[in-house]
Amino acid sequence: MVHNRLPVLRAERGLSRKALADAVGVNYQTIGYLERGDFNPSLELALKLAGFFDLPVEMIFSLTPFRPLSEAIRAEQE
Amino acid sequence: MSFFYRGRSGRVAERSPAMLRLATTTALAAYPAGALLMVLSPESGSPAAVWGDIAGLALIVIALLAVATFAASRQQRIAGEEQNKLDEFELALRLRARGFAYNVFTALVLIGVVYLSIASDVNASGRADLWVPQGYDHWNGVFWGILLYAFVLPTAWLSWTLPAPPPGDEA
Repeated sequence: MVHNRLPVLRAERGLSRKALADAVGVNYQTIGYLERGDFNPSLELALKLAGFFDLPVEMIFSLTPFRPLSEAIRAEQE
Repeated sequence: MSFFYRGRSGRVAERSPAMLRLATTTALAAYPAGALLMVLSPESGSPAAVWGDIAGLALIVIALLAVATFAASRQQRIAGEEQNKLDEFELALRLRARGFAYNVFTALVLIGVVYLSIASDVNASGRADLWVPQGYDHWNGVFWGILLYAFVLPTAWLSWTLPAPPPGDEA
C-alpha cells in the first residue's frame, strides 16, 4: 500500500478536492479515493501532485506510514 | 461494449452502491425471465398464453426501467464514457470491469452454444422436444438479451466492487 499526505497538504492550502483535481487533471472523486488509499497513483500523477505542491514526491507518498505531524514537530522541538 | 447517457445538465447522477446493485441485478434477471416466460407460454389464443405474454412483457419493461435508473450514473460513466474523458483511476476500473464482464459473457455464450448443440441433436433424433430459437421473434429476443448483458455486466461489477466516494467536496 502507498501512504500519502494529500489530505494534510490540501487542508494546509485550503484547497477543495475539486480544485486539486482540476489542477492535476483528474476527476474530483479520484482525489478522494487517492486520499483514502483506495487507489495508488501512476508515476505521472504522483509527479504532477508533487509539482503542484512544490514538494519532493517522497514527502507526499511513502511505502511506510507517515509520522503524524504533531509527533514530528514535538521531536523537532526536543 | 457499453454506453453512457449524459443528461442535458451534464451532471453525472449519483446512485448508492445498494441501489445500483439492485438495479443491475434486476436488469440481468428480469430480462431473461421475461423472455423465457413469453417463449415458453402456450400457443396463442388461450388465456394462459395471454397472461404469459403480459407477465413476460412486464418483466422485460422492468428490466429496461432498471437500466434507465443507472444509464446516467457515475458507474455507468466509468463503463461507457469516451476513453479520453476518463482519468487513470477510472480507466483502471473500466479495464477490470470489462475483464470481469468478458469472462462472464464468454461463459454464458459457451453454455448457450452447448445447450443449442445438445437441443438440436436431441430434437433431430426425436428423443425430446427442447426449445431452440426459431424465427425472427425468438432471435430478436436473444439479440436484445445479449446486448443488455454486454451493457450491464461491467456496471454490475462496479456496483459490487467500487466503494462509495469519500464524503464532502461535492462538485
